[in-house]
Amino acid sequence: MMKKGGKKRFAITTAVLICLTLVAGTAVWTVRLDRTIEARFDGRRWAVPASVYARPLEVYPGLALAPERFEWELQLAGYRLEEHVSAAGGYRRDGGRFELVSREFLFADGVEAQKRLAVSFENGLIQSLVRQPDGEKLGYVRLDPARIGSFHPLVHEDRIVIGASEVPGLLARTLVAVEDRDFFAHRGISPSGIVRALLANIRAGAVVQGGSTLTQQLVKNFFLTRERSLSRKLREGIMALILEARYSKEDILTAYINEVFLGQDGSRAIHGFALASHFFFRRDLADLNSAQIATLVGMVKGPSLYDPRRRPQKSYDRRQTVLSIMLDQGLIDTEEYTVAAGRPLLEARPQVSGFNRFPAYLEMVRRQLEKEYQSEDLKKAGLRIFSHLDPWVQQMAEEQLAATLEELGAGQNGTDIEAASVITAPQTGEVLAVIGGKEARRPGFNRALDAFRSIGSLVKPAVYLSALEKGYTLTTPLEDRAVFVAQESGGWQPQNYDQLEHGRVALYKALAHSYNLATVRLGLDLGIENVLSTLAGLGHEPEVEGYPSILLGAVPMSPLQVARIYQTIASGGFFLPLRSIRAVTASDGTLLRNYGLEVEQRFSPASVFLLHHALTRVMSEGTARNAAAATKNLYAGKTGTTNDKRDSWFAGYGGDYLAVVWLGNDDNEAIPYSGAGGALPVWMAIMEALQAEPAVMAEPASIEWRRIDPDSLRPATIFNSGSTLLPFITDSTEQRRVPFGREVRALEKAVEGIWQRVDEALQ
Amino acid sequence: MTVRRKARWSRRLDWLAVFGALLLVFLQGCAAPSYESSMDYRAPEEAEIDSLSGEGPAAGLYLQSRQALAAGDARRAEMILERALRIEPANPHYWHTKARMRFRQGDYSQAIELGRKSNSLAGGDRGLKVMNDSLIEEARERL
Repeated sequence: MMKKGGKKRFAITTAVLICLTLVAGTAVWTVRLDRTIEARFDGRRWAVPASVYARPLEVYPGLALAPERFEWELQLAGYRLEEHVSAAGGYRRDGGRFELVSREFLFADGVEAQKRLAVSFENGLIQSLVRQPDGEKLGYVRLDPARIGSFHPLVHEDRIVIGASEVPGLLARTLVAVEDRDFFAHRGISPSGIVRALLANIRAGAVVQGGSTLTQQLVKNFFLTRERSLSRKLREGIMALILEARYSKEDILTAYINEVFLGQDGSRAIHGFALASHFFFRRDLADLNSAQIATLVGMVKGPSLYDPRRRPQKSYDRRQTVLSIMLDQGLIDTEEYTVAAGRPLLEARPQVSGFNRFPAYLEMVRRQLEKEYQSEDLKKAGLRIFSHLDPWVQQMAEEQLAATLEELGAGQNGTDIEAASVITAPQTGEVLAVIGGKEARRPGFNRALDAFRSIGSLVKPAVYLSALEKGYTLTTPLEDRAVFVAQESGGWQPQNYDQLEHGRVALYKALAHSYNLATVRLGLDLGIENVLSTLAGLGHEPEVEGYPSILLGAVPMSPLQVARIYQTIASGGFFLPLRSIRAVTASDGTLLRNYGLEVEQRFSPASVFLLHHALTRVMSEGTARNAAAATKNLYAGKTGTTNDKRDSWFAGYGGDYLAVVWLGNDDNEAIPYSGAGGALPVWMAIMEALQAEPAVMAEPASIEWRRIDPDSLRPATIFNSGSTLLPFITDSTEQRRVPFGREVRALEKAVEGIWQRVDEALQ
Repeated sequence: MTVRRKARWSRRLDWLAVFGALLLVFLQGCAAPSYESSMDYRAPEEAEIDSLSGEGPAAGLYLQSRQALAAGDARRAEMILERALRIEPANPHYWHTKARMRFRQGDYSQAIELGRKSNSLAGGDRGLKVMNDSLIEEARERL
């Protein structure tokens, strides 16, 4: 039998044991929470995604630039229109004259300092570039680039992270005054704060004050999801205590300022005051005035409730309340209060944002990066990626595509036309624009990169280049006659587009008119292996099966791959890797990788020159001759139509732009357009909108021009009407003087002119 | 004795021949090189480079690039040179300079290719071609 004392002892022991268990349990739990805090707070505290920038706008006197386009670029880069340009990122416009203060920006090759500038335009050119206030004329300025995207972690967040020293004093003090007056005194939880809030709420009859400290709010924002329960509140409280024990007030406040949720922009969450400052007021945190600080601090309580865009009245009222608190607590004086209270809520106009506007291009950047960086690094390490995207080129291309598709009546008659385009700089291999689909702004299937379609006649330059490299000339006669290719699985009998045979034709004509029969015969004569090797030399890496049908383009390629092979032609026979990224730096500006210019000569410049000439003939007399544009003869290119009209292609270039356009149907159904009828008008419209320069290829010294009769293929004289000048490769090595042929040509032209006038006079 | 006057067409041809000969002489004198030379594309020697005129934005960047090189920052120099090339992609001197920079970094295969690219754009500039050729040859020896 238990003694009386025993019962007591038992009870005490049990109680002690229970207590110990509870304490132990709590200790374990606390340690776990502590670990969580350590893991989240130390080291990489915030997920700062990689930022992607477009190419910067470089301006200089003499640059052909319309003032409208300049303004558009400024807005895209986040510049604000202001009455008086005071802070960095502001501009004002007076017709053809701009005044702006550029932002200091850390490029991959160094810092570009902040500048106050006056830019004057006249006749579509920049006339002068003057630094203010000293009036020095500048020859060149590089503006800070538009930020066009970032690589989000799964939860669609974004950050501009700032350090403690970058937090404006007024912001910190206002935040404390409004949200947590005892912040610097308490240890994470403020019982007096809770009581005060309770009383205030009772008095107001509504929840006007929260009892949470900034620390608690940070924990809530930072760690936990939105569940509101007692156990959650308890956990929050303990974690707040731990946080305070481990870190300084300054650390916590800075973390809060970087972390707090302040709004939603579509699928993108705005966290942190620095980002909110850019998003709502288009300026750096350091440039906020007191009214703007008050607005943002007011939003902490309820970002959607006090959203200045959507609930201007509520936001305004809240701001006025915060301003009174600021005045009350002595953070601002009466004069400042009056000025601030009188300001309009949002001074900047709605944003023309570059952000997330170029999904197809971003996709290409992302793929390039993922080959070299871990996915996590892209999403967390705050990398800065400088791309070659030219926003204006992209914009023009998108507009012209949409306009031309509408003109063509695409989408009517039940067929759903899709499109894709890639635009590059021919001499340097930079990718300037990518269109992934006819709805260019919508992310989705990126046809420019991932739609592999038969290229049809676009392959022909590979065949003809093979011939030219082997010594054929532009006037070598080819036979455009029926050809039958015996194969294992029966035979192949290709046809011309017009179902006719054209007999004996000059090589250049066969290419210009895209004669299938002549091309197949030529390709078979050269050997398919030869053609495949040329195709590979042009830059097409994937293995291609050597079927005869490849001579007519039964090779699947994406528009990007097509751009790659035409790039080699446009650059005079030099293969250039296509680049979308210029450089990658760490968040502090340390250069991590520079994607420099690299070339490789794959073909002789003379052969490529001849090919280039033939491609200009495509525009002037060949399959592209009906392009309705006065400027078509300035460029070189090739139409491409596949069997049964499933794909409409055009690939071509000028001096400063190379573009590939594809039209087709995702379901591989026939579309009502040939290359010349669909892709070409789009291409032409784009090149015209870009005001692309003429395609002028440097003429190698071994080239000489001769006058030829295109029908007899014999040398002709000026007396032959219809005769034409064609380039040939001479056998001689480099000339020391101007080749005689050139002098004769000049003489011929002069005399021809005289004869014409004589003829006219005699009539 | 009768002197037969030359046929009209024959006389016309005579005048044509005279005219043609004169024209030929005239052209010989002012034959233009095969590409545009509105700017003086002299191949810059190392010592001359800094005296290159500061005209045009690309030239300014080119100078900056040379300065960076002189300061020992080869990487930065190349990045700035590429900016100049973006503005004037057909300038053979810039390509030549890039070839030289690659050579200095020990990237001999690119030095050769860039030298070739410069040559393809050099047109009648024999001086530049000679420099490219010698650079290419030296790079080949070191491959």
